[in-house]
Amino acid sequence: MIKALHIEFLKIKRSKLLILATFLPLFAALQGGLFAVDMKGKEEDLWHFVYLGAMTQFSWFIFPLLITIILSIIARIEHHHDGWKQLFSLPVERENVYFSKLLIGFALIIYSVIVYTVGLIIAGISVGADSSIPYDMIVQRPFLVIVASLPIIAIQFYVSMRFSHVGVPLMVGIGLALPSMLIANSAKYWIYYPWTYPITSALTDTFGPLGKAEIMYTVCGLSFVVITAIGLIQFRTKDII
Amino acid sequence: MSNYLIETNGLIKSFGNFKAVNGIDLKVPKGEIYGFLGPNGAGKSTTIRMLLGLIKPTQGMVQLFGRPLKSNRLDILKKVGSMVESPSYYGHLSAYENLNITRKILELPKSEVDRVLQVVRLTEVKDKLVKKFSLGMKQRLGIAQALLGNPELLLLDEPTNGLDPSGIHEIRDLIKRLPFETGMTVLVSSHILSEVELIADQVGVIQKGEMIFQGTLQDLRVKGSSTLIIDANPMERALVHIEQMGYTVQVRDGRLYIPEQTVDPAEMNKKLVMNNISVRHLSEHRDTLEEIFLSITREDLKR
Ligand SMILES: Nc1ncnc2c1ncn2[C@@H]1O[C@H](COP(=O)(O)OP(=O)(O)OP(=O)(O)O)[C@@H](O)[C@H]1O
Ligand SMILES: [Mg+2]
Repeated sequence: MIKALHIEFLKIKRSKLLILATFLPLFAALQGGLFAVDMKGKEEDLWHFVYLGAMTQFSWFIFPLLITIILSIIARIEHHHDGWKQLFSLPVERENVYFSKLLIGFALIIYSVIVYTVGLIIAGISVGADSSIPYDMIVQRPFLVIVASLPIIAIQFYVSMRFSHVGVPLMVGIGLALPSMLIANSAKYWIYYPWTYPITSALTDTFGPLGKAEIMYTVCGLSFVVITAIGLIQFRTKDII
Repeated sequence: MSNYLIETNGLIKSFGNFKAVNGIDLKVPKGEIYGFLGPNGAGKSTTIRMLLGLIKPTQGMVQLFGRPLKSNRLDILKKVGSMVESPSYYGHLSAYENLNITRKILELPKSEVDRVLQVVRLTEVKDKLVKKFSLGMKQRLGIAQALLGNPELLLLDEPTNGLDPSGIHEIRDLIKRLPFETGMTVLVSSHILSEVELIADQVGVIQKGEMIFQGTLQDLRVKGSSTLIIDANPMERALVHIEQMGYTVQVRDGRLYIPEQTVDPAEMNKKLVMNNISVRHLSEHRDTLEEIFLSITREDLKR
């Protein structure tokens, strides 16, 4: 498995994934910084506005977009020039390949969130927010957003592995992320639409899980396990044409 | 255990109602080169994919190294090098990096990468990104990849596709050397007989998913027929004489053709001459292997 991970890493080494996973979160953090600059003098708690300005961009679109791109490119590396065919002609376990791809995806997603939090801290310091960094908001919450994004990760991974054309996961990922802000406004329906979960978990002031936090996180965990398992079962037995 | 390195029994693969491979019994002896022949769409690639476990047979069984593939896939694949259809590659990586990934999976020393690069003559361009390779270079990379670690069994699906004439020659020579130098067993598929005629010990010919011939090239030659062509004067008398001898004769372009019969040309000549018929031309035409191949694949088409 370590070997499989190492090999997966070799494959993404030269791709643009690392640049993307660095650049997009920094862009969101920058938005937070700019938003806080506007509030300077008017408001006390600048950290809050750095967070708010960045998170409205990040949770709604940038993070789901990142997940979509990372996972579809990891799968595309194999789809593109019939890599599956060669890979599975070699002595490798299909489930090892499946999990190492998922793990590499996770590693990149977590990396992007680390970059994001670092970006937030730099943004906060540069706009002159007070010296005590509110770690629970700036660091802890972004990581909670990862948990809230588990269904998106699972669905995107499934679609990316399943369809050989990279357009399919990209369209699904972007298409379903777009209306999420609207649906997040609906107190009744948001829970049925996983693309709202990152928003709900991040922007608690405006949206908040409204007492459904437990349900939401349960759905996250369960759907992740179920979708990943279904994906694995199909992947293990599918014909490599 | 049998002596066959590859053995399939009643191998069938259906795509919906269509049987791409229909009951194939492949028998590839150890240490030989096996030419796997068939026209486009015959089911060669589909069969090879089943030999590698890439696709599951709808029915039937695959044995490699005398063991069922199904229950020993990983152990078996460690000893198999392959290239199926077009070569697979990671375009954003260099040739060296591509081979290095396979090398790592097979747990081979680094020197293996350099060795196979040398074998297919890609050493000079090993740091070039593969997406910038020409078709022939990608094909060479695919072959290099298959050769990593000197596998005991090599499966090559149309390996000379896209190569220039000297490249075709080179790869053919390479394949021919392998069984001698390393004891490798090689299965090469092609849709042209002449492509494998010079290197194969055994051939299997498939057509519409069915094996229509399997055996040595010598056995295949026997399937061919010969025609005796005679130009004699006077023609009418010659015709009557030959027919009296019990042969069927066709007249074409002022010549007599005696097809698909065992006639001794010398004997025929003597008889005609003794009957005061002058023989201006007498020749025997034997089907070339290519003609035999074409005729058996065509016959089957009519069925
Ligand atoms: N995934 C698939 N779905 C449906 N039919 C398929 C599939 N793959 C192959 N076939 C059909 O199976 C038959 C055999 O295909 P295969 O690729 O094995 O032929 P081949 O002998 O390798 O031909 P070629 O010389 O052109 O490479 C063809 O008629 C093809 O259309
Ligand atoms: Mg083919």
